[in-house]
Amino acid sequence: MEANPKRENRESKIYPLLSLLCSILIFVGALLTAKEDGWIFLSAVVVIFLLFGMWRKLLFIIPFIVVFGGIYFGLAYLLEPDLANALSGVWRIGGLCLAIVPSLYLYPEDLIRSLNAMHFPRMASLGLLITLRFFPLLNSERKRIKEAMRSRAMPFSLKGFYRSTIIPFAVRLVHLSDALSLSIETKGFSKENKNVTSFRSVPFYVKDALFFVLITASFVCSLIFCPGVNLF
Amino acid sequence: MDNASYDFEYGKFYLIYGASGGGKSTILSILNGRIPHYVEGQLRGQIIHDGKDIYEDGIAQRGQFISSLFQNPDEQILFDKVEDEIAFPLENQGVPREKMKEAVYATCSSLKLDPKAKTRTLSGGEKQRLEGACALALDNKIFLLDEPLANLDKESSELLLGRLKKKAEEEGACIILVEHRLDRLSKYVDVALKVEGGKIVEQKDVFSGLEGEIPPNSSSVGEESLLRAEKLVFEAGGKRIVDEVSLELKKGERLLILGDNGAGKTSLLRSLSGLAKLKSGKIYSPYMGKSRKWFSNVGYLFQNPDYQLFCKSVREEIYLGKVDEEYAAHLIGVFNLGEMLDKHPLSLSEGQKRKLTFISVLAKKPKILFLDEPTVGQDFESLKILVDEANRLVRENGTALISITHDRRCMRALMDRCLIIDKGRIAEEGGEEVLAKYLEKIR
Repeated sequence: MEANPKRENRESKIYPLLSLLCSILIFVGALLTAKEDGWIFLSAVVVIFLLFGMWRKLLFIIPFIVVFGGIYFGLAYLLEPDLANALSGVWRIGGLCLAIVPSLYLYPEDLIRSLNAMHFPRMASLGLLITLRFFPLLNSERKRIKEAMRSRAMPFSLKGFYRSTIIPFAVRLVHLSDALSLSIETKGFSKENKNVTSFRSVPFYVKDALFFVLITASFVCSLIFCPGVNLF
Repeated sequence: MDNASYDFEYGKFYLIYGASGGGKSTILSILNGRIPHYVEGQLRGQIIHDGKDIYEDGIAQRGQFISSLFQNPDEQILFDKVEDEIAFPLENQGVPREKMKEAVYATCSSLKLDPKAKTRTLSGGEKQRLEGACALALDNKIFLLDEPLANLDKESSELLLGRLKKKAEEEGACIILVEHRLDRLSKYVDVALKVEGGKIVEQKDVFSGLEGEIPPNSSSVGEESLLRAEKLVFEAGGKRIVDEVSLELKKGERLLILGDNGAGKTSLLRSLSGLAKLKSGKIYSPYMGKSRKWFSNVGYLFQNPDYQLFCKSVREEIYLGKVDEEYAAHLIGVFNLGEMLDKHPLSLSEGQKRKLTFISVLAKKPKILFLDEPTVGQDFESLKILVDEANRLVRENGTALISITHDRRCMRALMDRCLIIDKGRIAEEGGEEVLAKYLEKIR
């Protein structure tokens, strides 16, 4: 164990595995409490995020909650003018978006190292590594396709948009996933490797445990005290 | 491949060269397992390593003794920091932490990489160097490298080739390199294999490397200014990449931008073409206007051909938008892509993709043409055709041409004037005398 280890990635807020677990808890909690007073659980989660300094990614995710939640609310209310029903969908969307926040602070290298330290199955690590790397690459691809279209002076049309954005995007998705897997495998990553080491340990702090406890407590309290929750 | 057999030996440095589409990269893909595990097709034969047939072994198993470097570094980078990227293969090999740290920092030092740098802020050449570093960090005995010198300046090329040669001579490693930039390789290569039509057609134990240089030709530069840039500033990630650059380009003029990896050449090109958002500065051109009007008159060839391809066939890619169809047909003929018109662009070899993107950009006869490393994946004959066609467009259409290249085979043939960029600024500007001085420096 290194003396006074520091987490190298300063923006990395919470121990990687706990980040993932908390994301799952938030998502499940939001789904279970959505029917009645779902906002209570989500408010508790927001407060916990703010206490732990996650305001930057929270600010990033809020517009998505507003836009998608708003669209869902509008459509649901139009189809069936039931406020509680429409709101439950908004809470679910809010929960999904908030569940992403801890994972936005996750760095692939920290996650893989913490999974290796716990002797997690290598296939699961491989899947997570590809997933974590995939989305930023996909975002870069989207920008590149947009630039390529722009540089070809493509006139806008729905058919053109479909042909020159959706189709290449889908093709690039397949190509990217292959390229990532290939890169990982040629760097010696395999499910048979038992003897893997770490360049740097990922330290575990008290605040990581505290974050997890608070999220879990919010989750449990919501299940117990939210009137709409019926686990059985 | 067509019934190809060869015995590669430890302690030797092999070069595989030949025309685009001849099967060079296919050899490497078969050896490292990419074929057949990732690329469909029928593969027959044996691959014997240390007396054992490794035909059935997966890529990860072969990765325990083979290091591979592919052509597109962007798709190989997995992590945020340089040191984590280089450490990853060592972690998989179970290298103890202290030894791993030594290897990572030694590799960074020898290849002049900042271990704490963020991988997404690296230039194309720096990313190539990084992936080269990942391959070298491993204690493997076989190294397969596919065009590792593309986008690398002279210093970076020599650093990488020097390390590889040392691996071969001192550690007995087997180095197998596919390259088109033969001029840099003569003092490193032990055996050169020419591949054509899927067969090894020639073996040379003495390799001169020199293919020659495409001769310069004059162009007649007009008076009309097609592009004028004033004090352009471009920043990214808190760093100033283009620092108050001003220049002017006239009708029928060819400007060559030179400089080391990470100097800001591509960022300058992107700033001039309107693809990058400027922090400050102004661009003037008679074709200025909304994006579609501008790009109807401007052609941009991206450094990585994959970034430019988004149609489902070669034919669609070439004839997309407003193109001169007769000219497009001529270009298809000279570049020999006639038989590939119905193929998917991403299924082509890297050299073929470059030809395709080149045709797609030229076919609309742009008034201003930006070429970012046009020579990637091009053998000498293809390169001559490419340069000829670019110069023909300049001559006949009055197109103004701005190019970036590290490839000395074609520098003189692509310029009337050159700029040397250093840390985002113009360090030197001039004609043949400036280029001659630069070529002497990188010899």
